[in-house]
Amino acid sequence: MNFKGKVVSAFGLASAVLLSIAVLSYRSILQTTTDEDWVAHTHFVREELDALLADLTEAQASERSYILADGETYSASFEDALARVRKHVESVRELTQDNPHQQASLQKLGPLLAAREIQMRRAITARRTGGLNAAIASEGSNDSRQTMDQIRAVIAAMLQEEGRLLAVRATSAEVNSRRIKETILFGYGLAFVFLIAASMTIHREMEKRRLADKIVARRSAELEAANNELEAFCYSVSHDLRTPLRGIDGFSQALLEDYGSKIDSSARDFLQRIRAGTQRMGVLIDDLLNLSRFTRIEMQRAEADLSEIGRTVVAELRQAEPQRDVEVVIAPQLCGEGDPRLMRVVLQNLLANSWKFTSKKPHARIEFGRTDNNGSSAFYVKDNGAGFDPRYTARLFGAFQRLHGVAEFPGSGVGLAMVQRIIQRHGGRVWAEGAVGEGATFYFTL
Amino acid sequence: MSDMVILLVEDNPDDEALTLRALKKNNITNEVIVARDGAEALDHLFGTGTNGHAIRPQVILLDLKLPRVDGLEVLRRIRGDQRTKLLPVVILTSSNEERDRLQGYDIGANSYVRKPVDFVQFTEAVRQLGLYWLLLNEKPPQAVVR
Repeated sequence: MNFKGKVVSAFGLASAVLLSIAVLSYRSILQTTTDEDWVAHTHFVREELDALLADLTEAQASERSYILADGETYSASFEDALARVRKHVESVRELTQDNPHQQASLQKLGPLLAAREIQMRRAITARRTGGLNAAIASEGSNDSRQTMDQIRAVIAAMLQEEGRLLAVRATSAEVNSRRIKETILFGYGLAFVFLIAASMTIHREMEKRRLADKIVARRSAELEAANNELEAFCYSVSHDLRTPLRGIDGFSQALLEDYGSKIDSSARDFLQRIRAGTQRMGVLIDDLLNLSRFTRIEMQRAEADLSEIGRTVVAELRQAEPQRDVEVVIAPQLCGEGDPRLMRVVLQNLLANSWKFTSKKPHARIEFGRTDNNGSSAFYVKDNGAGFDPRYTARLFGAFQRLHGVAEFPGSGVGLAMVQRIIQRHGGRVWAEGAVGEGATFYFTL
Repeated sequence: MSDMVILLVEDNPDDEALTLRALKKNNITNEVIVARDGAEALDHLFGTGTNGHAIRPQVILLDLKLPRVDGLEVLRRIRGDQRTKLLPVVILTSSNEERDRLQGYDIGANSYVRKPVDFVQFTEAVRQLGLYWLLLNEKPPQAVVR
């Protein structure tokens, strides 16, 4: 996985974990509230059951007070207590609607309470009609005691059931909260690990880039040093190599001028050859300097009007050789993205080449235009001049490579090398087509 | 015509001989004072040399690559001094590096001529220089050149 992928997935995972924790926390808070509600509910049921028993006991106490004291005053509190008992029963029935176990117990409790009420009322009636002893006999019967015991047993069972539920709910709540606590802790740990991984990846990448920057800086410095050296070299070539040439040429000319009459024609010819060689070397040095200069020069890309540049170059060629009759066709509005100065050098060389190699044709024709080359457009300079042997195409663009003798067509062989370097610096391509005697076409892209 | 001297600043004896020959060929008979390095040129201009006499040439033909004090520095000193700042200076050099040309004009050269290898062309260049700077061109008034 690449750097970006690693960092994005680490941050993504950490975010996902943190989001899950947030959802989980929210739900656990809701769950805790529910659990607490349930615990409160259970307590409420137990209170109701306790109250039920208490009120029943109070009803029984009122009944017994009535029997012993024979007081009508107890009758009211007896009825009150019974009413409260009934209310508690209803309350418990409602609260435990969802619990079949408790409902079943209530089913048992109902008849028992009814039976106990009948027993108590019977004893009260007995007291009223048969006196104290009859009442005591009724109340003290085994039935009464048994019924009361059964009621207590049912209520105790119900209390126990609620206690069991409480325990179950408390345990579930505790387990739940522990699990959430663990999940949150684990999640935070996991997110932390992911974040550590992400930051380590970033740190490693930064370290790598810092190193790469250092290497680039060193290379740039080396390159600049090399460039400076090259520049110094070119400077000294330009100055120091030309100075002795001027001496050779100048003193040869001085010999010709001052002693030309005292030497024979062959000696004069030698001196002329010395001068020609010297001057040719001067041209070669200048071409070499130009080649290096256009390779080093800082490029300034702009929209260059190649048609206009072409027209200017041709005008200069016509001016230099007004006796030549050359038909030149330049397509209008040829525009290209490039350094206008360098584009001028390119067209200067290509058009001057065509101009030169058509010099032996009676009807010289040069064409500069644009053509389609596999979908992308290429500029071309085409002529009907001497052409070249396609077997040597590869040598065309080499510096100081020539396919024609200097006597046939003059030149140093640097022009096309310069064209190629300039086009390559623009990120383009240059190539040629041609045949001996059938002209040549030079194509270039930008 | 006593002040119609030419100061030629040239370290290469061949170039010196060729320049003098080209001047003679073109019938330029003005006195030519030759300085073989930058320091010597400055001595002539400021009278700091052995003869102690300061010259005010009609034109200075200045090479760039010189021993001791180089050509650009000589030009800088000439332009930096009230007495010499208006003297016509023609840079006459082998170099056609853009940098040299730019610097030369920047410091205040009046002209920049590249010495051709071809002696015939060189002679022609010297002829035109002589014609222009010695005959056609008017020197700045003496009052200004204090």
